[in-house]
Amino acid sequence: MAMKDFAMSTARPLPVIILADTSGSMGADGKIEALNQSLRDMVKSFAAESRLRAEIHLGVITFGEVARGHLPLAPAHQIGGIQEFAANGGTPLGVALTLARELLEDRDLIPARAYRPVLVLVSDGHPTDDWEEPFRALLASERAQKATRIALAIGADADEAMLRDFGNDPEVRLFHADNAAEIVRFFRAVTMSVSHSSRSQAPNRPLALDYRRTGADPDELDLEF
Amino acid sequence: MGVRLRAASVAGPGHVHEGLPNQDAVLIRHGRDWLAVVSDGMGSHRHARLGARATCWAARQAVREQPFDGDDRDLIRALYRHWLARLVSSRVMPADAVATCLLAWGQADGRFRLLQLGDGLILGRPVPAEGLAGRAAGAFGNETTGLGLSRHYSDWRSARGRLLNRGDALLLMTDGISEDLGRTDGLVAAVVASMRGKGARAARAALSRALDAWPTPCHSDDKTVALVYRT
Repeated sequence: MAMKDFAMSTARPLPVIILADTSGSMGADGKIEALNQSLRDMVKSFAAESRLRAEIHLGVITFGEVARGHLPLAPAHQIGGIQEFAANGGTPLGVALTLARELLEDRDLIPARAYRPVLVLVSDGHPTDDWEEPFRALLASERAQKATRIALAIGADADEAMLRDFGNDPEVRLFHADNAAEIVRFFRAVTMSVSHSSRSQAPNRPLALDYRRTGADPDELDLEF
Repeated sequence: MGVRLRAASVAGPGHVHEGLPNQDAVLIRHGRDWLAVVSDGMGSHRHARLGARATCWAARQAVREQPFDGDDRDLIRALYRHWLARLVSSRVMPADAVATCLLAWGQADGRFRLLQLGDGLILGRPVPAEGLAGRAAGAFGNETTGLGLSRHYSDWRSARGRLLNRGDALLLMTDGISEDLGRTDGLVAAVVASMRGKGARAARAALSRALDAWPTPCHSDDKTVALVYRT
């Protein structure tokens, strides 16, 4: 038996999970249409990536009236299409965050060899359920907390404090979109950033390196650098 | 009975595509005792290649001055200090040359010591059959530590054992290989068997061919392996 017979036959995934607000308020001013178009464009762009270093996997969780996973995490080049979402109901963000955490913790869907996942939250309103406890649970999850989190606040009414807390990428501030065109621009920016990352030498590059000295720690090796 | 050491290192398709050199390094030495080291320079750091090469050099210096029966912490500290000194002489900051370290150091009587910092895998036959170090429970791929990043003894994994019988072996590999392994049961024996009848040069060529023809889709990392086996 040769060494290659022990190798995996599947590529290392770079998971991207979209948490999309499809509540009733997204029906105004062409926002839901912009979201639908943006997701279609994103799937096409990811599918066209060279897959030189990583295979981008895309999943979509919507929250409008109810929260549900619409697109199971799948290789982008294998996604045939994505359904049109309609704007309806309240904003059950808490359930959506729980679904996202469960997905990030699922070692069958996101194996240990996967690159650090990217979680993108897009919302135009205030959550209508208890989102704080599920958010704390996501931040406390050993695995889910490691995802790169980016947020887009749509319109002046969005709960910006919450969305700002959601983001954890020091390179990426909270994005705002006041109209449909800006939603499209945001998705293009995320698509380009993830695509660039999937081609880079370090698809998983840590967001920040902690060099803080920790004082008289018996575990420290007493090295001067 | 004796011990043979074999090794190979190939640049990953990602680096070849970008015209970058292999950022892994490997060292095998066989004298009164023997030493095998593989190191993966982290690609996101400017001097990753230098960091990996310095790891191999530092390991060699450390085992020269440390007693084989000594303490793990002393060996790690010696290795780390040589690594830092090498970087200082090259005017490179440690943070720019982060590299993993997988080391197997042995004696003619078959006794060996293993050290590992960061990603990669040391598999042994008969031990450590499951590998020396597992990734932290919540980690994702390429989320590793290394020289230049870690400051803690607890980041290291270590083991001691003995190569007693013909075919007993140790296989050290960087994560370009270990992350793509679907299973490991039988891997060490298969690699040892593939070395049968081959001299050092033919063995290196055979290992290089196997790594160049790696079948996992989208694989991009550099791949480095070192093998120590009892004959």
